[in-house]
Amino acid sequence: MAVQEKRAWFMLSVILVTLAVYFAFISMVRFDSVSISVFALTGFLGWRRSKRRRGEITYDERDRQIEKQALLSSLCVFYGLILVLSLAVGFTHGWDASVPLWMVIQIFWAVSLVIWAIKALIIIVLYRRGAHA
Amino acid sequence: MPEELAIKNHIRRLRFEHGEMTQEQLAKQAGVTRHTIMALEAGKYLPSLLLAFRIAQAFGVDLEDVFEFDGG
Repeated sequence: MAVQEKRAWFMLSVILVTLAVYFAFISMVRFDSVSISVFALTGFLGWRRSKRRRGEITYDERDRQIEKQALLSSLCVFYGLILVLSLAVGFTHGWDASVPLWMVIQIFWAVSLVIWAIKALIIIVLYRRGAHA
Repeated sequence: MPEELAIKNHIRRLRFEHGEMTQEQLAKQAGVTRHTIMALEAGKYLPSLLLAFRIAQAFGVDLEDVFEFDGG
């Protein structure tokens, strides 16, 4: 399994653990700063564990191409989600209404998690299926 | 049929003709990962022109001896 693919699986695991802990907190303490702080777990997304041997190539043009495709696709979803959520909030709360800060923060984190999850999933699919430009 | 599938390669055959060169050895010479060589051999990836030349250079042959356009 390619390094990038392993990393994508790791990212998915981090996202799933974060969501599991978040929903566990939500069921216990409801919407609270404690629940939002669970999203700090996503910091593990940046963790890289490398067992690279001397002179070993672990990243090349194919990895770059797959990563670029995954990033572009996840950004498309990101803009789509932002649009849908903005309209949804506008129509449900009224265009002049204010929304609680926790809602903004939660939406931000939810969208971020979706983007990371989609990126990881696309990376896994492209490695399995093959990436043709 | 998509155009990219019309390009075939003879990497696997050339590896065996060159003293059963391993994918790892070819990858090292071409400056890519072994997974990319595997994807190329499986026809799942189209290399850049630069990589195509590097692979041909690794075998000491011309580009056309490694890659073949089968688009008619």
